[in-house]
Amino acid sequence: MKTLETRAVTKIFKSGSTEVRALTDISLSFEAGELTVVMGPSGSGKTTLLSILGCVLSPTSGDITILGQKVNGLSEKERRRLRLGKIGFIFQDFNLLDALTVRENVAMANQLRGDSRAAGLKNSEKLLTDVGLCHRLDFLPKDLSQGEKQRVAIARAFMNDPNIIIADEPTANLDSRTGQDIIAKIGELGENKTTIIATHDERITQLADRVVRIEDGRAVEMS
Amino acid sequence: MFTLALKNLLSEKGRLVLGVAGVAFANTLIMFHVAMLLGTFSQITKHIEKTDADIWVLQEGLSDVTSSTSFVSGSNIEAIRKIDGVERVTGLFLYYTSVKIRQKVENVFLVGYDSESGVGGPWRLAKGKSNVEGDEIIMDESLAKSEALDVGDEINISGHKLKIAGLSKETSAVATQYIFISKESVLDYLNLNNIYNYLLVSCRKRADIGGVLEEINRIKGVDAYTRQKLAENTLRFWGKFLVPLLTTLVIVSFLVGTTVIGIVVHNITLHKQKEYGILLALGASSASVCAIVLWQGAFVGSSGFIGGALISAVAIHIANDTIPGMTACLDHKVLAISILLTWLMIMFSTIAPLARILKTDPFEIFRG
Repeated sequence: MKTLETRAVTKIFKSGSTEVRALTDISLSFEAGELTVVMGPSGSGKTTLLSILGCVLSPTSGDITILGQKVNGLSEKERRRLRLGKIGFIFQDFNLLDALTVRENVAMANQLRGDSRAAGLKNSEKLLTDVGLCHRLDFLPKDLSQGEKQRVAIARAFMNDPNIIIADEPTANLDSRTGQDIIAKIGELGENKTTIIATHDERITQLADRVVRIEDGRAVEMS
Repeated sequence: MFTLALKNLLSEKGRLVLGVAGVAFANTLIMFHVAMLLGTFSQITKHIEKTDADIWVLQEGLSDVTSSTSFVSGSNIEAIRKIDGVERVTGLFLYYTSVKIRQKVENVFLVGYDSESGVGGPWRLAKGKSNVEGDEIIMDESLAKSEALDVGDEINISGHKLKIAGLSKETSAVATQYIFISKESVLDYLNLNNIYNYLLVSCRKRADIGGVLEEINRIKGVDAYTRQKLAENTLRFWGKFLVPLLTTLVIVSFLVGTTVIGIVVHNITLHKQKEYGILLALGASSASVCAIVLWQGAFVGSSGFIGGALISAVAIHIANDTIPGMTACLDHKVLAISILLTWLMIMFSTIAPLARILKTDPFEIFRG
């Protein structure tokens, strides 16, 4: 089942009279239960592509369809709602909220959706147990290792049971063993979801169903 | 969202303490000035309100007790007494004058009242006798305190030796204290022949006060007002001077408070700008982000308000106790005005950081 589709997506960044073409004519489709790895050198446009797929950024031209819904015409409010309910994000530098504990960070995803704090905290415990952090529930992010922080970010991404998981360089700040554990965990939790991971790490491709390489803003399907 | 707002603030304890202290200081300024304004206003007309007379008779052309000195002939007393419904008419001296107390010149309201009936005399006693005889006086407690005087002490006013028989409370208006003396003594000291500043008219129960007023106003050379009307006129006269002055002080305090809360909320909010960006990237609505920022402002503002109220209560107590004539009063009106101004300060001060936060591009979070 197709969950995400891009058709002739182009993104041009403008700064004064200067134009930078980040993506050119990208047409891709993603299936449920499929783990796609997006590879490419720095500045190739991986993050821009993931931002467009995650409804964070709008393309200059082209169409995006998520779960059968065209995203192009949606208002910012509708795009935020779509992100909150259907898409889970995992960032390179974790992006946890420093003032909140591990469980509060994860519960926040629920609370943003309108659930009560109590319900959010209860739901977060199961996911944190799944990622092996049941002993760190009341820790602050500053007291966690890099790998543990990324596990919290993973739990948060899965909190609202999204259809799509978008992870931008999730292993960049981790050692290779921890990185592989993290990717395995994302794959395990996202078994029935559409998972798109941008990375430099060639080893991750072994876990992927398909690999898309971005070169000079164009997508090349590798496998 | 409240938890996140609170935890954001508590994670920056230094900023939070400075912020709450700043807001408390701004609130203290506001409360103190409003308390002074309301306290001053309530005292200006207290003598009129507490005097047991339905109608005050003034010199023709005057309508309040402070803009000019009134002189009314005592010969009108008999004419007024004859009006149907009038029970009692007494003369009253009430004038602003300088007196020398222990080599120090003090400006006071000297009240020469009918010591037999007590009409126009002190309405609340702190110590001593409630009525004067012969060369006795009743002095405002704060004035006596500032001059280290007490009941039984003697002072010299205009060459006359007077004995303090009692000390009165709440007898201070616009930083000027009252000294009460019998009207006979004033007539004697000033060599006046049946001339008073005012005539005080008390009506019988169920008498038509409006009708009595009309009758008195027919008498040549006088204007009569009900107690309430005279109080209003007097308040209006003082309001012309005091309201702009104290309103300016309140506005300045309000602006200081708004700036302080603004700086605190701005700093705390923008320090967490990336985190708000994360929330927006995850899909948080603008309303959720606004709620967090407003909660932060509300917490800082409310804590500062409580701190300000406590500091003000202590400061006002000390000021009333040590500054003669200070009549600041921290009551529910002052607190209500301060709460309202605090909430306005919070609203104004969160506009700039909110506008900036809501402009945060979630894509920046992706770019790291």
